[in-house]
Amino acid sequence: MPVGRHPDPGTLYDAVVIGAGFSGLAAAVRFASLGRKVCLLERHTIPGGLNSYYSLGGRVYDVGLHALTNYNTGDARAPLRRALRRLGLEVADLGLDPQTTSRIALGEAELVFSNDPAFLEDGIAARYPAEVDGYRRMVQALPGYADAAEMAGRGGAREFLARHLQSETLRELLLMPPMLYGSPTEDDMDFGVFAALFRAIFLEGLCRPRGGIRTLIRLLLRRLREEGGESYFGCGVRRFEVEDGRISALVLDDGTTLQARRVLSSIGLHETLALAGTATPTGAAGRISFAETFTVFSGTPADFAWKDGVVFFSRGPRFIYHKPDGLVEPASGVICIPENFGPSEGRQEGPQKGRRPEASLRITCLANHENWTRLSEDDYRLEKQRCFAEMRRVALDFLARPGAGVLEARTLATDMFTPRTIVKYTGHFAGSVYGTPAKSWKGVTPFANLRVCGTDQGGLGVVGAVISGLWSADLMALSKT
Amino acid sequence: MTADQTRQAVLDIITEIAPDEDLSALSNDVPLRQQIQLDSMDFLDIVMELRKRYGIEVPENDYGKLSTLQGCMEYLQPKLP
Ligand SMILES: Cc1cc2nc3c(=O)[nH]c(=O)nc-3n(C[C@H](O)[C@H](O)[C@H](O)COP(=O)(O)OP(=O)(O)OC[C@H]3O[C@@H](n4cnc5c(N)ncnc54)[C@H](O)[C@@H]3O)c2cc1C
Repeated sequence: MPVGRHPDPGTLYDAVVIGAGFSGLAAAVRFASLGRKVCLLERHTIPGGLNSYYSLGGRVYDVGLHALTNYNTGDARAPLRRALRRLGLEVADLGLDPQTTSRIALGEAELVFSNDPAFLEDGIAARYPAEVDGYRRMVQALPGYADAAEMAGRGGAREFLARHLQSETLRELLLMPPMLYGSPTEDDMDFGVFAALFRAIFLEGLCRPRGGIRTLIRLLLRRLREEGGESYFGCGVRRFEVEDGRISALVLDDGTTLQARRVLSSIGLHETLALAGTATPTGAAGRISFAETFTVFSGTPADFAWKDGVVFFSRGPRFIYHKPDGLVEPASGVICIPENFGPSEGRQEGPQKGRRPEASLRITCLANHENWTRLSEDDYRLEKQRCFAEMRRVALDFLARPGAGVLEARTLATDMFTPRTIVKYTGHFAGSVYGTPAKSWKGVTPFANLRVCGTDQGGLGVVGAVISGLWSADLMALSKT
Repeated sequence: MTADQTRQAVLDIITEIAPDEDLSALSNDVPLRQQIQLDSMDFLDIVMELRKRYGIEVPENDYGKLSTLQGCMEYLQPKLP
């Protein structure tokens, strides 16, 4: 990465994009493809933001990525296919491995889903025969993507589910994946966000790029270079200069001043307004943050009889989705086994030549940012170990259990991240992953030439962020300066 | 390019953006967005493709000139090889 290179203070950019997460990357590519002089600024030394990667002990770890949503791209107007085309990419470029199955486990209840919506419907018909008509009506009643933003703020997902389904257990089962994959609000989620994520997960399905999240990051960077866009890493924005209700200049971390006609920020709504000196109202920072454990084993997931790509789990009959009082909430969360994506025949063919097979297990649970932040360095290390063990103990109850000592003997590497890590690498207030609960659906700010995109515009998840970046860049490109 | 070839070049781009639309009976004088389902972002896709395929930069102030096929032909033909 060209760390240390700096944008030219003498240039008047058509657009400066702040943050090289997925929304910022997509927006910058789009501005450049429309012939605009664009400059992408990222404080961190590598791109990706909340979904990045790092190397440790000779292994590359994806941060976050369990799965990409919106897999089914058959229809030319399918969101992922459309977004990729707008970026000058094709679906095939990503090398997407679809999931085989994923599972939702809530106490004793269970539902399995695949990338075929009929499979989920059959599962509901088999376990909840009285509910299947209601389920079908519910799916029919979901607004399309274009209308989902309009539905924002019009009630919660629980009320919508209750209108169609009698069984509280079934409602919990269907709410758990959309909520864990993108609700900025605790306990219930906005109906519009639910509808978009329900489609993205259950109706369009899950997949992973074969090379991990780096594949998509590199494709976006390549497209940006091809279109003549500039990007600078290790180059954060410290503050804005404001004149007549507009951002008149950006002051970078090193003191350089940049001029831009338009500024699009992906760093979060309040994080952005803070650059203009606006204080964040109490309660505006998101409360949803996560801790994640990561373990690499020798062998394949099949060796442990682990079949599912993703398992959404809750120990009790009601899943927990609010900020824990302690450090983590191990009783509900998500398990991901990345090696379980891809054609099962491919997996049985065994390891790539010269590489021993490895299986990895990620466990993600809600975490309390302030409590993690308060710890001394020593306590932080100790608590990480303790929480690692606790999260793993609960989560393993939802997977087939290999013989005693097998997992320990096969462990090659472990790692863990906490809300503290998220703040360090993304700057999101309170380590918030899904951003502020009060989204800026239109992306507008009090400053005429400043918009926000990404998580706080309502673009949740990687695909949501990409779509948000494209949409925001388009609106800015069409607006008069 | 002739006017007809220019028209075809634009239609080729639209086919890629909106493959589900029937473009065979498009009128030259009626705004495209009144004849087929194209939102303002699809319209920007046309701008993007013109740049990619033919190196034509369309400044924002000229976007309005591309609203009809006739407008596209008049605006683009002198810029095309
Ligand atoms: C643990 C975890 C698991 C996840 N799993 C999935 C998953 O399986 N599937 C999925 O689709 N999504 C997942 N997500 C969510 C997904 O990562 C995010 O929704 C998405 O990446 C957000 O993108 P963004 O562009 O909105 O923001 P960000 O990724 O936050 O990008 C903002 C960027 O701005 C930079 N920045 C901040 N301040 C400044 C400044 N002042 N100057 C310059 N740059 C600055 C940051 O460094 C960052 O790179 C997960 C997230 C986490 C944390």
